Amino acid sequence: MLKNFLLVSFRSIWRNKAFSVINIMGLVVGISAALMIYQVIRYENSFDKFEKNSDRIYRVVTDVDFNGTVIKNDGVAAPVAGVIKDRMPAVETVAPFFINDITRRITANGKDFKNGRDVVYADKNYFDIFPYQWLSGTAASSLREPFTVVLTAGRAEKYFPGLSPAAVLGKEIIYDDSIRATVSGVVADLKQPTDFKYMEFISLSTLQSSGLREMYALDYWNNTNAASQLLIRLHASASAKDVTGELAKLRETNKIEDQTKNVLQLQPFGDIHFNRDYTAEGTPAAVTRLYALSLVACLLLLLAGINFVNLTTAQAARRARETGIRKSLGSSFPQLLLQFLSETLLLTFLAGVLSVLLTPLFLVFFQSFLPKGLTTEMLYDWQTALFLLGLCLGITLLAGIYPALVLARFQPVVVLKTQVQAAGGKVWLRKTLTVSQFVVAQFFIIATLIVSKQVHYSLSRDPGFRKDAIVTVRTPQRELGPGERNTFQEKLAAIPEIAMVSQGGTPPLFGGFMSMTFRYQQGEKEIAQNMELRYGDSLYAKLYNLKIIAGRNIRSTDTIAEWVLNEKAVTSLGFRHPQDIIGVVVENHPVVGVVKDFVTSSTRKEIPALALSSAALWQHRTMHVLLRPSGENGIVWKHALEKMEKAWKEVYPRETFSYDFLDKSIAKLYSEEQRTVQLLNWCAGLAFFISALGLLGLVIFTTNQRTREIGIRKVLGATVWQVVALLTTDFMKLVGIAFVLAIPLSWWAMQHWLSSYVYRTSMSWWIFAIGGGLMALLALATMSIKTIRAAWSNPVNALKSE
Amino acid sequence: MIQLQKISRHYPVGFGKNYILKDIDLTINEGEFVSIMGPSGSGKSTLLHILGLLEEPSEGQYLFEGERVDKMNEKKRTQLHRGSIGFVFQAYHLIDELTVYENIETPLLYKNIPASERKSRVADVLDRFNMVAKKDLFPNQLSGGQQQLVGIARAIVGEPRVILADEPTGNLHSDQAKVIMQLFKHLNEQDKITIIQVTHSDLNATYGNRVIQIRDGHIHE
Repeated sequence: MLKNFLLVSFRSIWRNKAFSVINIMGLVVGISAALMIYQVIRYENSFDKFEKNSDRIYRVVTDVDFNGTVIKNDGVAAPVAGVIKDRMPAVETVAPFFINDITRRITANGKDFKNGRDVVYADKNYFDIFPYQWLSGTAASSLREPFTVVLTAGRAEKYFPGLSPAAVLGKEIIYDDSIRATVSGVVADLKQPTDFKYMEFISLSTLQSSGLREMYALDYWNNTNAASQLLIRLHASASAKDVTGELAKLRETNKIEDQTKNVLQLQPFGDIHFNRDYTAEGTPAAVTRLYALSLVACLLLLLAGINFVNLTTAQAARRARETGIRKSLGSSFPQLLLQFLSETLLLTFLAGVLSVLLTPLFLVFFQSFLPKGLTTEMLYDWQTALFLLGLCLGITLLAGIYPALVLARFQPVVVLKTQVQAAGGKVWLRKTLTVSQFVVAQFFIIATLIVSKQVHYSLSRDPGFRKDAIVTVRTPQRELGPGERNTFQEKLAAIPEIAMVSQGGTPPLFGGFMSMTFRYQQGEKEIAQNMELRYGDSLYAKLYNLKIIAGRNIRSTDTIAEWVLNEKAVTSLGFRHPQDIIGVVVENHPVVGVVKDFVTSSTRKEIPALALSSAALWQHRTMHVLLRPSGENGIVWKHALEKMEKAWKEVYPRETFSYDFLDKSIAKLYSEEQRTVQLLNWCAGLAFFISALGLLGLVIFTTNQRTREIGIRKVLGATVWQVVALLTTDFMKLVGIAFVLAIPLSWWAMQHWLSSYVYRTSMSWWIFAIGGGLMALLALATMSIKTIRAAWSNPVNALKSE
Repeated sequence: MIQLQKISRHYPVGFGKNYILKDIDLTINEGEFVSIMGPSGSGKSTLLHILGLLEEPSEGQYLFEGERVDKMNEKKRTQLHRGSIGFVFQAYHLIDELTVYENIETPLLYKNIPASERKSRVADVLDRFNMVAKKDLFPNQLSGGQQQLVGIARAIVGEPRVILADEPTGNLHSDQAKVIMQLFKHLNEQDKITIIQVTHSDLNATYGNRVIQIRDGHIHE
């Protein structure tokens, strides 16, 4: 029986090639999308699952309170670890570690390497949490002594190529020419995905016995730093809630040392990969993005399913006769139902197999949207097979049950006796489904246009400062004084292709924020105002073309001596006119000037109150370089960059030279939006593709049905275009209805999306008009594949064959 | 074997009813070869469909071997349908996607007959109808007469007690029609299969041993 079913299914799929291809193509898109997103979700879920009793592991994190604004920090004050160890028996393992974000240069085997933020200070407890395999040395002893270091096998191979794990022991690694550590162990690299992918472990005791003790603030309760991390594992009997309570009490008793209202929290280990609230190490997954992607996959599957329903029921007449015959031969209704469902199953399976073959290509193609460590390996294991099986069965049931019911319900007498073409299912249902397909496609098209418009708006709005032809160069962080920087600045200023060089902190506009609370006694009441800070020498304002509207520009000083505030700051400190604040002392320094408001971060944030000052000693670590016009083929800039690198090498012979163009750095602020545009582009394209396939199928069907009519009309004198119009008008009405329905939907959704931007573009009517026009054009083009040929055909053929 | 008592079939028209069949009483015995004749629209086909359980009468009783068919549940009717009745249609109604062999095999599948027996029974029928060489062809590769032969082969492979044929030669030219009618006669005489055919042709009616005239929903024997 089943064999017979499958045989008939296969032959009927083969016979209706056009419709089968349409159905399968749509399903392949949908299934591939689902498969890819399944892999992504599985990959993200596989993070840090290999640690023993990982459900009992927590990271101690800090909610730092800045005058009521709580900032979540994934680090803790360093003394917390010791207190937990001494006084909290509920905690089984305490593993503090410090990320080495200070070292710039690592020297091993006579060669210099850069610090890739994968060096930590840790002790044996770290290896109690993470089950590393020891190739040489032991967890218990290797990190006991100060100035010892354990490497992963990969790192050992990088530093000491060709040496065995045992032979690496005793070798010396030098950090920033000051800390000399001896290799005391080698562990195998972790194969499983983890957010804790550190490769070099310097003994924790090294911190205690060097100047780093102060640098890492080991003894300060009030210094919460993301570099100071703390993992703990509770005893099986302990509850996280109790431990959090005890931590609060501990802080209470240590209040003398700590004036802040920080709260220590336990972050479950499994939460680390998915929680973006804590400024995190590693690559946290964006849960909302995963949801959005899953939704897209579901939508694409839905669209493909709709194609199947529409095309199958539209051509039901063809299969109705078969139903009649089979019933007259003794088939029961359930048997017929099963037969038509098995046909759907075969079709989805074909699509499934094709998807498995194609997904590796898609994975490469969509690389930039996918997490970095994702490989094709998982595509060929039993979980994926099971998922695919379930998916195919699900699609079969959801998309197949209605057409199967329609087909199996035909009464033999009706279909066998009459020569009339039996219509399958309800016409309004097919129309509704087609309309909903196009609503989805139309929505994505409009959304793409609006997001693109917002990105364009963000990038093209006037930031209030000069951003073109500016290059920023960061000087080495561990530099001792401003002496080398001044030398470098002088050398740069001497380059003829460079117009101006300023020493400063960050550029006016950058991706983060840097702020400080200003307190000011305005009569009776004290104003506490969060103030964004920018540092630069006297050339900073000139180079960036910042407009001083009152008072004067700052002078270059080694430490903060005076302020230039922006207009926002002036009003927020309670002054009405810029002139009024000149000479007023705020936070111990006089205000000497007021600068016109300029943009300091992305369009998501409002322009804040801001203070500009000069503090060359600590803050001027970036060279801001204004280049002369780029010249023919950018030759001037090319020379400028070459000469800048040469100057760099003279001042910093052991450091690598790197630079950023400011306009590119600003564009990078919107990389997330750019990716959204790309993704939406794909969604719109694929949704339209599937919907258009369905439309094409329906057009092919009705056109074939009306072959005779077309013939007669042509004989009576209809032109080609009249026939094309005849065939497309009905469908264009559906596209039109979809457009009307999509307008409020996309308006509402995009309004919501835009509301996260303080500075946003308007949703002009022409965006909708373009979206609708684009859709109509594409739909017409799709249908013309069939209609024009039908309209051109010789009417004699159509009439003869009848 | 078959007894119809006061069978009527009507459908609603406006506020009244339009009768296709009215108060039909008919008894058909085992082994008969009955021809139902009458003008177009007289209700011949409807009567045949009622006999074949493809359509239900609006009123009256239908007894198959003394059992009330109208009282049977769905399962039992399907059983009766599969086991005792074979259909032959004017338009052949073969399944286009299946080969000759598979078309003939289909009713056996629905009767849940094991594969080996299916094979031998289909082979027997093919042999008997001289169609072994054509068993892998599809219906559209056959002539009309050949397709109807397959139709008949499909009807008898399940070893039914009754064959219901709705103008089996209506689409064939006279030579082919003759072959088909002789086959029916043979099946009736040799295999003792009861045959009920609807026909327009007096010539075809002569192959049978009883003629039922039907006019405006009434029987004139």
